[in-house]
Amino acid sequence: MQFDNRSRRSKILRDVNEIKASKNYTFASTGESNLSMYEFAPKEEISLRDFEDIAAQRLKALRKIEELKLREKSYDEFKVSMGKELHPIFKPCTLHQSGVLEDQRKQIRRDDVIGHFALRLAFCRSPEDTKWFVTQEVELFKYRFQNEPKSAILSFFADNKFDAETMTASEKESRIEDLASSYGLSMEKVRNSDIWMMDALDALELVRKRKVLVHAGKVYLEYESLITIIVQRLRATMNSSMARANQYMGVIEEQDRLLPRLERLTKGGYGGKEFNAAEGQSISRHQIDSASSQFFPLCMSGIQSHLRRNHHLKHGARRQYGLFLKAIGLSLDEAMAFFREEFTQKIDSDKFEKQYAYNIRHMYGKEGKRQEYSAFSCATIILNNPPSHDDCHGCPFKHSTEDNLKSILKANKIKSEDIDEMIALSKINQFDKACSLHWEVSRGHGKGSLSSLITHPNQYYELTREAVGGHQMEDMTDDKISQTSCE
Amino acid sequence: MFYVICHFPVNMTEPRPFEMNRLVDYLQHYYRKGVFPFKPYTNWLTYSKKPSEYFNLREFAFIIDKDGEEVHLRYRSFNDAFEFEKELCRVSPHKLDLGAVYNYVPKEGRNRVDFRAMERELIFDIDLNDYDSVRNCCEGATVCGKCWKFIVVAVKILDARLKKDFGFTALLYVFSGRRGVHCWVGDAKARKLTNSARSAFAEYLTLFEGDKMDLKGKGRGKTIIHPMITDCYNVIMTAENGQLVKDMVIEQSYLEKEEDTLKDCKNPQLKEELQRIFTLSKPESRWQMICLKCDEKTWRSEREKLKDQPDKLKNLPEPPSDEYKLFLLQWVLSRLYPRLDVNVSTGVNHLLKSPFCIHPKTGNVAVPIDAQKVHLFDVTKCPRIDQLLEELDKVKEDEGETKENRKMLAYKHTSLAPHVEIFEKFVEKTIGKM
Ligand code: SF4
Ligand SMILES: [Zn+2]
Repeated sequence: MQFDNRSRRSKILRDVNEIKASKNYTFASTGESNLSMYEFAPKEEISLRDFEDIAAQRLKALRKIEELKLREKSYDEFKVSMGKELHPIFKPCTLHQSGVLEDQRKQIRRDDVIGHFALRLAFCRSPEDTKWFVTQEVELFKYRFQNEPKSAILSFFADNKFDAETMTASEKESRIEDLASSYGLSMEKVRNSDIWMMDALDALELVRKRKVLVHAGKVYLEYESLITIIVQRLRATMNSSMARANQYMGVIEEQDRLLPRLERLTKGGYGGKEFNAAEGQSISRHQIDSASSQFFPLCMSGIQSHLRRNHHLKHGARRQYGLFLKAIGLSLDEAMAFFREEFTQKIDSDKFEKQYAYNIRHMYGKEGKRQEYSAFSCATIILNNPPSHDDCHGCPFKHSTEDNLKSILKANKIKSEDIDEMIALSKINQFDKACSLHWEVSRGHGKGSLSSLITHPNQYYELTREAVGGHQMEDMTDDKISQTSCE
Repeated sequence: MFYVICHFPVNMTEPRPFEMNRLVDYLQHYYRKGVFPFKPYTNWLTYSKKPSEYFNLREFAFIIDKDGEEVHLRYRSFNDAFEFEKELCRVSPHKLDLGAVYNYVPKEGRNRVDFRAMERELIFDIDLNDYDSVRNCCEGATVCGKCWKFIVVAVKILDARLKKDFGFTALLYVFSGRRGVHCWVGDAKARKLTNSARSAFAEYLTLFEGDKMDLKGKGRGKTIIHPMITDCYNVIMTAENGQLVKDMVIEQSYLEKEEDTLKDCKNPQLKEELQRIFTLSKPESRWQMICLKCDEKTWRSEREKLKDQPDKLKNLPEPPSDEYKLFLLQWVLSRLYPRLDVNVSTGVNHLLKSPFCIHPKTGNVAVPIDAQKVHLFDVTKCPRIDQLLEELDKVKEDEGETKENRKMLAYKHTSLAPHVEIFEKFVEKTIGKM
């Protein structure tokens, strides 16, 4: 195979490295810790074949994690199965065990980082891919973190500039009551567990929810919360670097040979690739109005109000909107009722059944090719099927006139300075940035609060929901993580 | 002649109403005669850096009056203290707002796509408007000494939290001129906070959603009362040896109607006890009994008092159970805990009325007040622009000083002086923090 030719080195990883410019990177940590925050890409040449092997290994592991996560009921059971089923196929998980030789250790740590970055590259090209990848990686990291001994964790913190340390017994004693009541624990339990201190600014979400004791600008964390914080940072790093990496894909050398490989890696085989209504996420037709004003991106809230006003949608809008609604969890029956109630204000229900019902069932894969259609991404909306003057689909940042866009945003109660900025961005074709800014300011999160760009209306929706309901944190803390090896 | 126009009546025993129609006149004198404390003010906003590094990047907003309509002139910025003073004297705006420190000089850079607010003080806004559901003495815009006590409580709590929990030290409380207080946190760390940090801090301090109070750690199943909440309760209960809360309970008639209190009580045993307490006729005695049953400190001190009188001691009720304590804590906090306007605190670039700005309707100066002495501040005797000018004229008559001298530190000769001193102490602290 031509790819066996070791003399032809790929520069992929060097390019990844340019994406996340780093100066003096050495593989993983040189210290005691086996973990990496993956903040710096490896700076090393590697053959395409190795690249592919390592990536495939890791992908197999991530799929296993997804499978176990779905299969096991409790976090404890999950951990047991991970030990049985993941360790044999994924070496980095065994690093903490004694008896690993120094050379092996080096090799495994190197593969860990390379594998991670290789998959980042493979999965950065769509938000759906990114989301899936980040979820599994975070799960993997969390699991590995819990297996590390405390000394290794301390050196991991030092390597990654995490300013966290444990309280001494006397420090604990001085605020024992507050500590106990912050976490609803007995004082005895507090005395016997590690309490970590770090700057409140590194634990904002926990401060916001009063889940930690806050004193003199510091927070005092239980082990569980500590993991939450670190994982949060990992997630943020990955999301933003993958959003950026995506923009650089075009400039990667050897892309002709690399891209098909990356393609192959991500194709098929894993669950949440598209934005499908997540388990338990559902919405009824009666909730749509309020969801529209609270959570929808401009392109969708525009269609919703058009529909309420005119009781009709043309084909383009029906498809763009219908698939979006499906992906946020509107069931077929609800969708049918929703459109019927609206449309039949203008036409009789017979006509509706004849002309439109098929159409709706089709979107849900119940007619025709019986294909599951997925919701349109921003790219699809922006590039395909531009709306004509009496259509209401499309992306307002791309397709609306400046005046129209202005008045929509004004009605949205966006400040005029922000409107100006969005219009400026749309003018230079940076619709994703404009839309991200819209998310930031219209939902009151503030500029710069979004870690990745908006590239999909359903991503916009989910981010808003998460931010509003604070679900983002919940997902991570719900699992009961017990303190295993951090004694 | 220096003061040709001596049109301020000298004799004033009764506070007379503020003459709004002469505001423009007053404002010009207020700035031009230097009653506005330019020196400490510009020192503050310079934060002992080069003017070009900070002061010049700050947004000021002038609000001027155009035929009865307020016009906001945003993104004003000034090279230095001198230019600021000159312009303020020239325009004498109706109101003066302070914005953020930007990455470009606001005047010039505001249209750049990458124009960004970089820093500003962390601010909090407490307004009696938001207390209408628990404020029974007055309504709407009116404010009396009784309602001011809500502000007293709010300042005490905010002060405790900002110092104890967040470790801030440079804190300034400013009367908003009508019915509220603004808090400015000037520590370098506070000024550098991101929007998400600001909103996290503000939400940490927020117990209300609308008028509904939620004490549970947000998003957790079981009721865990965060120690900061318990501490706030203690701050309220011990303020002025318990007198403050007692006065408020009586003045706001919280214990007049049995129903108001019982409706929040879920525990049948406590409900019964409360019903018995409400057979007492005086609200004072009702309050005393409730505290004895539900407040640990009250119960302890009562036991201490009675320790040599065994016959009375045996009538002392059981020590308050957790459920009883929680009931009173909720009862007190739902009425007195500060209601913060989170939106004001969240944005780095939010505009807020500047200290020493004049309230155009009341003529009141937005004066800094001492957090330890908020209870001594009398809203109805807040320094007023017309009266300050009058005081200044009197000094002139008495001393015949030269014009220059007077202008330099004119405020020192008026009843604004103690407030400027409070302000200067704050400025020192912010500079000490650099
Ligand atoms: S950019 Fe995408 S999400 Fe934003 S409005 Fe346009 S299509 Fe909708
Ligand atoms: Zn009142």
